[in-house]
Amino acid sequence: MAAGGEAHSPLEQFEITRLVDLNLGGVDISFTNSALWMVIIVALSTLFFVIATSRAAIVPGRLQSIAELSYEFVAGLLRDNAGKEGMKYFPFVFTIFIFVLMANMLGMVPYSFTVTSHLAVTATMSLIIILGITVLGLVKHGFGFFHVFLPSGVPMWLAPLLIVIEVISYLTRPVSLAVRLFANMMAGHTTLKVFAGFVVALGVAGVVPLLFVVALTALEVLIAFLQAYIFTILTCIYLHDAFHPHH
Amino acid sequence: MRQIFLGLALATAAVSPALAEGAEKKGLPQLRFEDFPPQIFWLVISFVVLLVLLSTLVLPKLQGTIEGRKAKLEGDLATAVSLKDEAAAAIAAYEKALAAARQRANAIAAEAKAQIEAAAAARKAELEAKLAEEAKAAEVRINATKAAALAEVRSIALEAARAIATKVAGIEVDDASAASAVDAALGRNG
Repeated sequence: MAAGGEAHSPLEQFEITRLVDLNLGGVDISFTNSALWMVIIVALSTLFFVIATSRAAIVPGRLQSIAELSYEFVAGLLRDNAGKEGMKYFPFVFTIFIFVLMANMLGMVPYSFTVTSHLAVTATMSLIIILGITVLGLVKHGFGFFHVFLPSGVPMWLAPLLIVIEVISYLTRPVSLAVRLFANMMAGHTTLKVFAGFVVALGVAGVVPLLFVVALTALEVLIAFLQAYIFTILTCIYLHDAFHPHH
Repeated sequence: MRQIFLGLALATAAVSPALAEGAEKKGLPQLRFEDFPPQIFWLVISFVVLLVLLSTLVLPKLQGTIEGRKAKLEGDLATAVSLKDEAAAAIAAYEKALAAARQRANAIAAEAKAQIEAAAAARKAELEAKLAEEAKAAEVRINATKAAALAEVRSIALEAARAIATKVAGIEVDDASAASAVDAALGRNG
């Protein structure tokens, strides 16, 4: 987002730079700018919630209201989409929501780094979510979990076709979950950067793209929230399958 | 399902401009696979840390606060309902007492009225009896006076008759003949 002095590529903001080189058994685990912002996300989220819940008043103050609102928001999502059994996984889903939301929102701060604009991050999260849900479903229902691929009441001659479609649809889940978030974050930030470049290039006429950038920033804040919401609600919906494989 | 399609559409729409931009330089930073391991490592570390921090420090407290508030609200509502019932019971008791008091007041009033009426009737009867008695006595007195007066009239008439007879006729009338003549005259006129 930052309109730097040099002629940066709009993709420069996504560069991973190693701040501390680390190596664990031949695997590169360097502390990068991405890792720094993850630490900031964890620190800020924890700090916010600890301060917000420190007083625990019956009539909540502003911060406490926000904390309770986010709690009930995620709890509502989980209860509505995954049912009562899903509430056991509330801390996990809540952490996903807060992590993604914080990553997206902190990405809106100038000169910051958007953790969720990287495929490595979103793909890891979505793979863990889908694999976890699949393992959970198999543990809970055993072979019955494969009913996910064949809804009951379907004529047998349709089964081969339907199973193929459902398997593909199931395998697409982690891909769509990962790509949606990373692509949205990346596209938004790239667009902002491109238009911000025009502001400087056009001189006085740069007011026009500047206004556009302002409007786009507002839209990006909305999208930052929306994508966190979508990521969370899809997690809840997929979690539903683990408990109710029969459509 | 609809959401997935929507998401895919959003994603493709979002990716296309980005891919066009990324064609220059050395490709998308997102697709440099040598950068994947450090990101994944630190993602797992930070996510687990956040999960542990939130679920130990924050979530139990938040849940406690929210459930405590819910319990307090429900308790307060229950108290309000019981207080309302109590108030209704108190009003009912008050009205019952009021009705009883009114009934007693009516009874007392009726009794007093009856007493007063009885007393008045007794006094009236007494008075009437007294008046009747006085009237009787008066009648007796009147009759006595009348009889006396009549007797007096007879003796005066007798004397007058004897005097007139002496003056006019110059005869001395004895008492017995004068009396019989007067009695005859009185009987005629009387």
